[in-house]
Amino acid sequence: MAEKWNITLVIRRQKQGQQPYNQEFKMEANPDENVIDLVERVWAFQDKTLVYAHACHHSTCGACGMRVNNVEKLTCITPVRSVVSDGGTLRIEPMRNFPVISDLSVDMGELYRRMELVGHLPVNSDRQEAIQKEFRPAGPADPGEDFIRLSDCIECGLCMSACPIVGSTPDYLGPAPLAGAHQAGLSSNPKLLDIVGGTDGVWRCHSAYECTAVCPSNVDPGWRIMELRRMLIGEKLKSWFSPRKSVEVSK
Amino acid sequence: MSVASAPMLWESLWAPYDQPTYDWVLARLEPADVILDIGAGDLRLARQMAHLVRHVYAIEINPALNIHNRVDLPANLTLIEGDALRLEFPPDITGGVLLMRHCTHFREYAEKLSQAGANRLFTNARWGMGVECVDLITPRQAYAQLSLGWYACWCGNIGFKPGPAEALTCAALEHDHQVSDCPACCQKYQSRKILHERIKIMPKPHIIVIGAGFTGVALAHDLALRGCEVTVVERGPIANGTSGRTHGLLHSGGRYAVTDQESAIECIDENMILRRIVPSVIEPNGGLFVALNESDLAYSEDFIAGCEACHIPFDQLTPKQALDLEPNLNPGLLAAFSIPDGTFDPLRLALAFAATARKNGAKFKLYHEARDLLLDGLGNVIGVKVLDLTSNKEIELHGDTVINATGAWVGEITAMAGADVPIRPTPGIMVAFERRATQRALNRLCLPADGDIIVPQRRMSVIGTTSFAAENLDYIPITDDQIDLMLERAAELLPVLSSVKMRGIYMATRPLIGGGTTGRSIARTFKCFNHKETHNVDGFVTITGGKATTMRQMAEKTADIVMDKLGLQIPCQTMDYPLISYREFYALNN
Amino acid sequence: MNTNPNIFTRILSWFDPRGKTLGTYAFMLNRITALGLTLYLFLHLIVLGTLAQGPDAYDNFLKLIENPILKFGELLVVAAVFLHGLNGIRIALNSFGIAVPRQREFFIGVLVLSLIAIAFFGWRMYFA
Repeated sequence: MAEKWNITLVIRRQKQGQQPYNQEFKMEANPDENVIDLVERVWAFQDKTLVYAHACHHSTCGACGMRVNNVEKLTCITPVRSVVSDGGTLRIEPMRNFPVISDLSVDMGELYRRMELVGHLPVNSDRQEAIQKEFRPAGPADPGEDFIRLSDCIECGLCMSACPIVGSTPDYLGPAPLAGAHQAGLSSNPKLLDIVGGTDGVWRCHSAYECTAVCPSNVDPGWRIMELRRMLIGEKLKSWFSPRKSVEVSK
Repeated sequence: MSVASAPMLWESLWAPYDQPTYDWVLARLEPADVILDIGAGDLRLARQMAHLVRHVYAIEINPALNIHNRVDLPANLTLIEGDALRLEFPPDITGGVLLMRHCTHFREYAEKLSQAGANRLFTNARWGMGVECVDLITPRQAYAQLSLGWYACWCGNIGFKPGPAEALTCAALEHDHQVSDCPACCQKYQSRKILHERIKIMPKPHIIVIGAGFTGVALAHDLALRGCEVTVVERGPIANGTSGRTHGLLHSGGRYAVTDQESAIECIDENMILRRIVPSVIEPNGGLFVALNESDLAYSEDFIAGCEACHIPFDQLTPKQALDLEPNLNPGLLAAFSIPDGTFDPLRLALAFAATARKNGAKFKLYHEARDLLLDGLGNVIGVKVLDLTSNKEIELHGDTVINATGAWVGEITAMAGADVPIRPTPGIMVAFERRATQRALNRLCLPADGDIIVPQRRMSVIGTTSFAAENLDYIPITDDQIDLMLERAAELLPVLSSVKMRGIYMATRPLIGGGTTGRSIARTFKCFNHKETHNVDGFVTITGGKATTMRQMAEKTADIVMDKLGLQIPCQTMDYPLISYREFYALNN
Repeated sequence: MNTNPNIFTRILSWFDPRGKTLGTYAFMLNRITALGLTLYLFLHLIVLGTLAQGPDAYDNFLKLIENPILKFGELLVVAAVFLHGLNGIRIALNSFGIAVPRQREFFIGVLVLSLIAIAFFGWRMYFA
């Protein structure tokens, strides 16, 4: 791990009231370190006015989402060698679709408001989190006892940045909130059926599946949105064929 | 065995009662009832009630109790997870159930139930009253009008009111009089009312807090509740320094029970408080201390004595029991103890405090770097000059007190006032592995050493840490020998980790107090420095040291000192104030 | 969310594949083929209108489409029908919760089947 590469970072800068511009920083990088370390070194040694968001450095807080060479990445777990080679250039820009506070930091308010609206559970039982067949539960291979853990979605916003519909349609709830609604369960809140099945809900998704491609955290929003569609269709059929019974929403 | 591997922990928060107690309540329910079960625990009574009444709402603040239960509830039982003190009660309830001998908010619940239209409350929360049915509708007699007899007051207290000899009859003594405004509640609620009145009319001091790590956000919350105007300035986003990078161990104190008992007691007390006030950011699965060799085993006696001295609940487990709980443990383990450790989400814990502070009026100026302290002619601090990094503009903020809560960086700020504090910034490495190999926090049963803690966090296992000195706190380079040491230590506790990829590797700098040698021998308790006393600089206070688990207490002690300096007698209210959703920090605007 | 106030910029953003994965290509293709088929539908109705003007008008039209460029246009219509139709089936099945984890492979299958169809009908149109 003692290799030293020469990298050029091109970072998108933006101060309030001014036009955005690109700034170049040359530096040495260890190919096995993560992109956030490069950004941190730029801040510590080259330009202390660089504004960027970060907190945990181990993919649990969701703060350090950025675009690296135009692809959404969680920079604390993105090794340098996975995005650039020796002598190459790394373009680093803030996420799309969020208002930029400054430089690489964006305002996450709308995402957090929507996660609260759908009632996504920040802590959940592991069995209820890891329900996608493709993902093993977080625990040991033998399921045995269940346990409570922090849920998979770290509200990093990468899916919101990558989604083409979020980019063109501001009211569309977006992959993370819809995945959050699926996690909370349609039975958790009677209003959720309308929120998720309404004009800004799952039917606005057009299957680009970029959300699933960029999610660093096993949420698989694309799958969850399709699951919600399946559940909504089921509810609709039930309400047609047994109109007298009140609609009981199943999980 | 259920997830409550530290049984003494949960019992202190929720206690099940016996079936005769439940039967007494069940016998008095009617089919048309809609019942609200406050503190429903694992729903054992709520399920029984659901068979007999129209609908049951069960409120329970602790999600760990119902991880299995949530999916197969009867159709007329609704589980509401949250704090009954804060949530709105459903409007259609006819009765309430409050089986909670350790309840301290009887009056609040009774009032809320009454306002929601309930006509009776089944409870055992009033001392000495057993299980009773309290009539919520019939107006209570004022205590003053009672001539003589035993009374049970609306506030939850009971007592005997002595009176004139002629009133001393068998009938009068037989009956328990339902009253309101007894001497006890007048005192208790009067003092609370007085406190709120005092806060309303007092001139609001403006406190500036430098640093939005755990200490800074906890201070903002504490001071906002005490009626102060608070402005927090932070050069980055919330918790971007040491606080964000903690591996997230909610200490039970076991780690310090032998070498630093003051610290251990702080930990266990704050552990319990944080579980109550902010459960939504905590994985409450407990922890294990594991002995892997003879030297570890020899430490057991000291460990047991230490835990007992510090009232840390623990259970001794055989190796087989430990392996049943955690199959990935090194099979060669010799002994294990279970203690109420936990895991918390570092950023979201800080956000929860910051959100509540913001809701109560505190202002946060993120990406504002403190450049200099503003001084008056005598060298006292009267404010801060900050650079807004988002616009490159400098602004001056004036305040009655400036609190330096910059953790490892306190020396940089104190220098601006010509002061210093005995701080020894001590970086260490953390490695996060790609797999969650343990459900509980794992500690080596030994004196605090490098790499002796592994914490589960979401789908990862995080091991830390090391200890060394550093010059430049803004960036600590990661070295291969540190990574190798962590890999070695991780494989000792959880051999499976030697074949698991690393996901994140990072350095964090702990603020250790003391001017002596580096590293482990320094006490991990916190210290608040009133610079009027240390350097004759008024208006300036520094708080540093400590650990995440004790953040609330650090803020309490610091705020006490600040309030004292300002001559205001307002006590701390954060120990039982449930925090609002962490999401509100971003959702609310400044 | 923060979106560009200019609606054309927003629509154009759909068609920028830089940094995107296969799913976006499916998304873009579905839109382009949809626009193409809609345009074709209008043209088709106009052309059918010539039927009402008598046999000569229609015969003149038939002579027109011998033009190799227009023939290629017809091949594009065939391509659009297959791509849009098969991808539509993929999306519809996904919406019932079917085959979502395999959506990439499914789309590659859609492309392969469409290519086969285009080759077959192209051969028929040009050489048979």
